[in-house]
Amino acid sequence: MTQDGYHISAEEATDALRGRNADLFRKIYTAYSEELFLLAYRWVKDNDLAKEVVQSLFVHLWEKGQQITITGNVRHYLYRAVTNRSINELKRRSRNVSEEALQWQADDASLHEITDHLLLQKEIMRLVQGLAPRCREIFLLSRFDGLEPAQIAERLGITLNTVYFQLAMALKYLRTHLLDGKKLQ
Amino acid sequence: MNNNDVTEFVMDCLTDPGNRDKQAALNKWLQESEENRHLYAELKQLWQAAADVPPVSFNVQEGWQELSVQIAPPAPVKRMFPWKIVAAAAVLLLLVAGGRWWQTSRDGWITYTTPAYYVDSIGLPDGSRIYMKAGSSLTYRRSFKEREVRLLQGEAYFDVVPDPQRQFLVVADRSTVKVLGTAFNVRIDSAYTEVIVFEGKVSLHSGGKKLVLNSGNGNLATVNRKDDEMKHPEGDYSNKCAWATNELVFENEEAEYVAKVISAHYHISIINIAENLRHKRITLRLHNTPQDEAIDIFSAVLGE
Repeated sequence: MTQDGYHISAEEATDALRGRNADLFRKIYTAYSEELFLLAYRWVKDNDLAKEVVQSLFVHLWEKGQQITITGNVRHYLYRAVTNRSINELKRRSRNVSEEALQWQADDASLHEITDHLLLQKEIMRLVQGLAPRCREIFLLSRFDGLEPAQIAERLGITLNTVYFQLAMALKYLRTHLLDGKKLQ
Repeated sequence: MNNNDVTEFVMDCLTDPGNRDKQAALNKWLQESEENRHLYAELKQLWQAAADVPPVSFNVQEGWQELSVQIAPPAPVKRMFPWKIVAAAAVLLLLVAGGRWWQTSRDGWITYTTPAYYVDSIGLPDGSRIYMKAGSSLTYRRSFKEREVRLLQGEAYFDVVPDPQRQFLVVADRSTVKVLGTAFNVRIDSAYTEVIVFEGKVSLHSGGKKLVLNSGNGNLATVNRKDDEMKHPEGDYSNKCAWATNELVFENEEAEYVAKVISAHYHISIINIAENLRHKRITLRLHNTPQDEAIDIFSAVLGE
């Protein structure tokens, strides 16, 4: 799952920042901004703020690029940076910082684990668009809106069995398509 | 069990963790084979990963456009309010997250459709703002010389900038809503077109008939899409606009009803109320209130 087709080395990234190479900078943004947004959202639980955290990180990278040296894995460097920024923003706004965010150990194991999780979420968000409309509606009500199957049945005026059936169809679809992706790699 | 039944069975267990019978059946099934355990682990992982994704997806292209405004050398941007400037630039570029724009000729009709699963808003050239529910679609002329918007499907809330010289028209199916400056909600479903006035007044025209709607009591009207029959019931329906206004107002309403509306607004399971308080009448106003705070306020008012 950690394979995503982007291979940007630490040297390449550092050069991009030092030399203000807009093309390469854009490549970095295109490769990582979405998962960084998902990671920021995980900590701040706020769409607009999560986006702001990601954007301000890239503004910082561009403006202070002369003084920045990226070592190791670019993705992991960015994950740490976005996590620190998220925590700082929450503190600055006197919002609650979750234990999970504070305890998050940026060691290799947890970095790999969280990468898998974020890429999976990215895939889910993409694949959901391919579900049949009714199936997608039910899946979204369940997952994004957090409704119980009984509430969905009531809201849409359908039977509970239909809700279960559609949710199962959605899961099956996601799993099949994710497996197809794995085989390709 | 064939593959479909298995997924449904797992689904059933995942969504009902409190049910002992189901959990027992699940454990038994898991013990049957390594394959079962593997399948279960995968489905569970998917199920959970889907639960904590944000409601709005991240649009990389849009993000880059905004970013490139900020990092463009030489930066003419005042550093005081960089985010506001970026936001304004984004509107100028007519880039909107995830939605679809269609545009034909220079002053052709621009059609905007919101993504399937979230509310979005767009700014019009005259400064008015439209909030659109998921899966809604509307169209207007690029120049916007005449203030006219056609709602093609779904539901939209209009916050119209006053302009005594130019009235603002919303055409929905065979009905037209005319206003000068006000805020109102229009919804089309398979049978009816519905209008609710949140602020000010509008006139509704359909099938040669005209009805003036004011905010407050009697602020809703429906038009039957088949025969243009208008209905204008009693009551204040402002809370139906809460998805766009984030404002819920209750005046002397039964606690049970208030709980139901609040729960639906925040998409949470129904708030439980003690038996003896269910019919207590309460008055309450929530404006841009976060969910936890809203529940605190509700229980405080209920306990008074």
